[in-house]
Amino acid sequence: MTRHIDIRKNTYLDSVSLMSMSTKANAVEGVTQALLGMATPMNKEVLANVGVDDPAIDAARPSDLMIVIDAADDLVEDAISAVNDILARKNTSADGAAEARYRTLDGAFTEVPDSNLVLISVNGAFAAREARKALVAGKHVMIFSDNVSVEDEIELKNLAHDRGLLLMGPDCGTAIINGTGLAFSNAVRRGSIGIVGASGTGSQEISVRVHDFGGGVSQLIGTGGRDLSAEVGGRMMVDGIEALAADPGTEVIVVVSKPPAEEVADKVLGVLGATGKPVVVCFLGSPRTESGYPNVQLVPGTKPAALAAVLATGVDESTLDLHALNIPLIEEVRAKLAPEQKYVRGLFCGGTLCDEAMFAALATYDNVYSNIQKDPAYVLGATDASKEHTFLDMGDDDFTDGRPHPMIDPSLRLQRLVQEADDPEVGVIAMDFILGFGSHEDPVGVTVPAIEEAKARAAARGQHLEILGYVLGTDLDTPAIAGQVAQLEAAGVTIASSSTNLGLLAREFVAKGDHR
Amino acid sequence: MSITSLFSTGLKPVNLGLDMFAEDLTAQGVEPVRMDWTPPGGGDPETIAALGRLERPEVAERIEAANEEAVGRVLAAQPFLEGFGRAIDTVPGMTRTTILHAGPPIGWERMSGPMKGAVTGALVFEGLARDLDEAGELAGSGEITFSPCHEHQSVGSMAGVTSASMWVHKVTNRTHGNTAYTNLSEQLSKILRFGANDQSVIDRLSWMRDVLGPILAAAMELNEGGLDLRLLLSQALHMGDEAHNRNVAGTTLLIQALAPYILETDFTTKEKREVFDFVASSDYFSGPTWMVTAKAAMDAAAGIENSTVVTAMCRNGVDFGVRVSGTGDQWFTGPAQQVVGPMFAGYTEADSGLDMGDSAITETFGIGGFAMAAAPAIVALVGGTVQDAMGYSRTMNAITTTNNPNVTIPALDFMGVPTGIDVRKVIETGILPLINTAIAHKDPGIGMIGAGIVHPPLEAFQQAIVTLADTIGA
Amino acid sequence: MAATAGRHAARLVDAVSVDGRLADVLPTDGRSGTVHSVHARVVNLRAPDGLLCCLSSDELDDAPRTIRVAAADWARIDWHLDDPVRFGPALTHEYDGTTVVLTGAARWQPTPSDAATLAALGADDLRAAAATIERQILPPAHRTPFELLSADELGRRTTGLAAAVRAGDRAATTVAAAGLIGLGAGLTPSGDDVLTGLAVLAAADGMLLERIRPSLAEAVLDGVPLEERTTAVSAATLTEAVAGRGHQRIHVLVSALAATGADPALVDAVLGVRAIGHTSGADILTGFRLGLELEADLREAERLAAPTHSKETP
Repeated sequence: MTRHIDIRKNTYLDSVSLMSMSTKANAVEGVTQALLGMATPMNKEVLANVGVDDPAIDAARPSDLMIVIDAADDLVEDAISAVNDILARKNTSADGAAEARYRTLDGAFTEVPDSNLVLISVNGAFAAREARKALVAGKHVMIFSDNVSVEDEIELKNLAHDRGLLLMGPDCGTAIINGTGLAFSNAVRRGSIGIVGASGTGSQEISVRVHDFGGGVSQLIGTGGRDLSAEVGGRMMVDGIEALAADPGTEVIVVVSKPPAEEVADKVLGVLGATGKPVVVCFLGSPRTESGYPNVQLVPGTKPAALAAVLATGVDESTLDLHALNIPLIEEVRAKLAPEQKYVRGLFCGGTLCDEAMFAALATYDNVYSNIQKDPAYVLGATDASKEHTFLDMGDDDFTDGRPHPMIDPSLRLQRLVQEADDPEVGVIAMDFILGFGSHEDPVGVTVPAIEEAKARAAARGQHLEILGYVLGTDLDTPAIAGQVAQLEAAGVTIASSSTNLGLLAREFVAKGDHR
Repeated sequence: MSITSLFSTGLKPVNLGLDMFAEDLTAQGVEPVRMDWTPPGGGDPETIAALGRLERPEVAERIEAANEEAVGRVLAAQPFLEGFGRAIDTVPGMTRTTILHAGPPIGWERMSGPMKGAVTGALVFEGLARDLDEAGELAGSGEITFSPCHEHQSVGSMAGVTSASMWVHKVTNRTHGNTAYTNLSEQLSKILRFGANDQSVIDRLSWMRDVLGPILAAAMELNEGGLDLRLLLSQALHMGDEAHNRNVAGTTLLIQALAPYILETDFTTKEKREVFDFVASSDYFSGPTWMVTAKAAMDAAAGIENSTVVTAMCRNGVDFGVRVSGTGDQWFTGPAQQVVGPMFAGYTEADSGLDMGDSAITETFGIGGFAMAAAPAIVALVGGTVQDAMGYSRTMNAITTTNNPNVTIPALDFMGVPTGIDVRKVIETGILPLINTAIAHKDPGIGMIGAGIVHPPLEAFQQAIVTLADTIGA
Repeated sequence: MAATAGRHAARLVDAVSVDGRLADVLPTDGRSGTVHSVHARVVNLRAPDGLLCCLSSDELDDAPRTIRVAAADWARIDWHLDDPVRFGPALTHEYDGTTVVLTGAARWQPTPSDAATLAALGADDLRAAAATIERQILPPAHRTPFELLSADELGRRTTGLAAAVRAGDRAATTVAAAGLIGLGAGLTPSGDDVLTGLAVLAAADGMLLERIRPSLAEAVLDGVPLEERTTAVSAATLTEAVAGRGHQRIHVLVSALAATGADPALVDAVLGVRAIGHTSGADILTGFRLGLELEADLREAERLAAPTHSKETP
């Protein structure tokens, strides 16, 4: 606690102004108490009675205004400047607050003191600085921007942790706070399932599956993809889990991520075990099957995660449409493919969706190539031609370098789709289409001509090319999922009902033996 | 606000970056606070790093305290016109062969056309050369000392050329005791300070030396109390001046205050009449007076350790110079800019010289371009609308430390003029100070050909922030 | 010439009314005073001899030391802090020439009370009026932290003052009254307002409280100069109050006491006082109510004591 005392010489405020200023000053973030009064001897005595005395006050005269501000140490500067601004009656806002735009965060915070979260999507080189300002001002932060150094990330997360604030990101693509979607997110029902995700599209997928199973989302907290690395150590994940554990609106917690560093996984599971709430964990591609905690269930995919979470809220499984794999469909597709059509090509916008499909394939095949493969022998670059089974995360940095994300600008994927269709060994092209806030307004419509072109090229050489699509979205999204699915079906695309099923179907379509 | 309490509060997001995210929020019924953000420091990594060093809490704390001290001094300054004297008798460091000029230091070779014109004119006026050609040779000979006005507690309008026998204002800041000087307005547009130097210019300077200066000096000797310039300035702003390009009210107030004493001097009625006619010939008469008022206030804020408040902005027609309180006498420079604004009939932008003069001391203090909202009558002169003028003054709040309660703008609900330009805020917001100024012809001898708006070069502020980071943030 | 006359005329503002006593004491020798402070409908002036007086719009009522101009003319009073004002036959702003002309303004004096009616009121009547006031003093909707601190102190000291008055202890009354001066955050601290309400009531003709007036006057006028103890505006108000002069509305309230109980006239008068300033009105009422209760006590004591002085006593 720091006490700041200011004496304004010959300042005469009528009591209406005094009241209004006192009210505003006491509302400033970090101010525990602001006392304003004329410096009469009696008023000085009143202050002295509560332990406020200072030579400056002793020297003040009845014509002077005394201002005493008590504020948290770390916020005292901000508090003083905010109070001074109130006193200076700065005429900074343009006419009509709704149209006002602010040049600096400090300016925005002063004019809109009840703002409580900053969504940052400026160039990563500038994002850390702005995030720091927001945290210092006591605001929660979501950094959509990438290219923020890991040092900055750790520093920011420590700062946020110390102040009890969210620091989602950097490179955090999605969040839903109090029912409001931030950046890339889907319109889903509000409910009692809280999600903390280190992977953006994985979190989106789970929120959509939960919605599809009739459940709802309390909060969706993104941590940024690097949070569970050994360096960052799951700082945001742990704080996010603890926030959901304390949140009375959250009954069940879901965690989704690529496999964390071992020690981080142990730490996160420990925190989850201590929450006492039912927890579902999906570390996509992790060999772990046991969490070691009775309330923490490990699941292999996004769909099982959503299902387990919805069941944990007390829903009866028999009432749900589980969208089991369609075995006759698999047989039907296999029959259409020529013997040499042995491979799957996956062209993805969503990193987790790519991951999930790739892991499904890896469960059966060894020759799976990707730009996100762990095994260096199977890594492909953005400019490399596809090889055997190939799964490309086209939202990864190698592809997006300097270009908008494929969820916004699908042009690169359209070229690649037609290119893949020229390979006679390809049987299935798997694609995701992501709806929702932030995404392209008609991702299917913009892709249909390329789908038709791809199919036509295969047909020209006498092959059937199976295109398998999955639309990540809900009936509440704009556009709604139904219209997008209908467009795909009209273009001869087979529809998967979930990310998990997309991976499984793609793998099974080209499997030559028994389906598993 | 803890994370849990965020969950039970209405979300009020600020969107910094992609506008589409703001639109998505609006579509969800959550109105975000929108930003008009630009990367700090023009996106230059060294500048941003410097800014970052100055933002560390312990450093920022020192800076805030120092800046408060600096602007406190500016607000408390009480510049009084104490009298007039000849430069040789009053200005510190003045010699017979010294020529003071506007802006940061510059040698004869690099001087702009108008400044060279003014220098040679002044050498002829002082009798140091017989004609302009000889004056040009003398100027390049090394026998003449060139020095910035600012390094002699002075300021000079446009070329700012001040020589030994010119009369100057003596203005003392009675609060802090420092004194500042500036020479007298030559009024008409074909004048030395714009680089004009023909016989009519020299004749006018001689009359100013022999009649105007002595009468003003004698008048102020009769006025024992001095003139409270801050009070007059404040009144002038309430009467529609911004005290850089519009001085109608200020000139009226000033001559009104001087007139009784002028009448009481022992000069002839004819001479007094000449003085009144001369004052009446141009509204600019008080322009230098407000410059020196500002200088006397800003000098009080100079040299405060850790302060990032700008204490001087000036231009010599080639370089733009900035001084900052915490770095004392050091100059930070960048190229002088082209002034943008309406030109007098018959001239085009190709004719205009680059930004020149110490008059940006007015903006440094908070008037001039910073007080445009006080002077809607001149928006046409500098180009723009009344709405723009209101916006200019408000915008300057974003880069200043405080508002001056002693000098206010009625149309903005008596907002004090934005005061104490903070180098950090300029770098952070990318908003450059706005300066109202006159345009001189690029060639010597022609004079004023228009007026308009100009900004300092960002480079000067980038240099300043890096140096500040090295000294304060080390 | 017409244009000149018009421009000249435009600078003249006729005062609507002026405090008669102020008009008698205002300096007229042409020396300059200054603008002391500026509020929405009030400009306070410091006369060259140090007297603080007030120029207000006639949307506000008459009050001691106040000169009122028509609301329609108020916008022409564009006067600012520390501006010089010449005190001649009229008040002239030195910069823009705006001149407030006092000749022709109505001369206000507080309405004198009807001594006979007031003296005839019984203790119960006074207590009923006090109760009416009590009901109309709303607790403030919101108090600043400073007010919360000072309100405690104010409550204790007001109780102390009441005790001193009841005890008939003149010296203690002076000390207790002085203890209220300058207590409270605003331009007229609450303690001062309480004293004002009490002092104006005490000065009304026909009140036994007359006897505490010397103590109140000593508390206000003696000792440390008043402007060292409270704000200048409040010092002026208090000085007038101990002379029995207050805001016109307080005098209206004194007159309305004749209508006792919850009579609409009394309630209107109470609401009128309550509307003074932001919180001042409520504080004045607090003092006024205290005065009524003390007066009731005094009258009761007097009545009980009366037989010993009665002619009927042998």
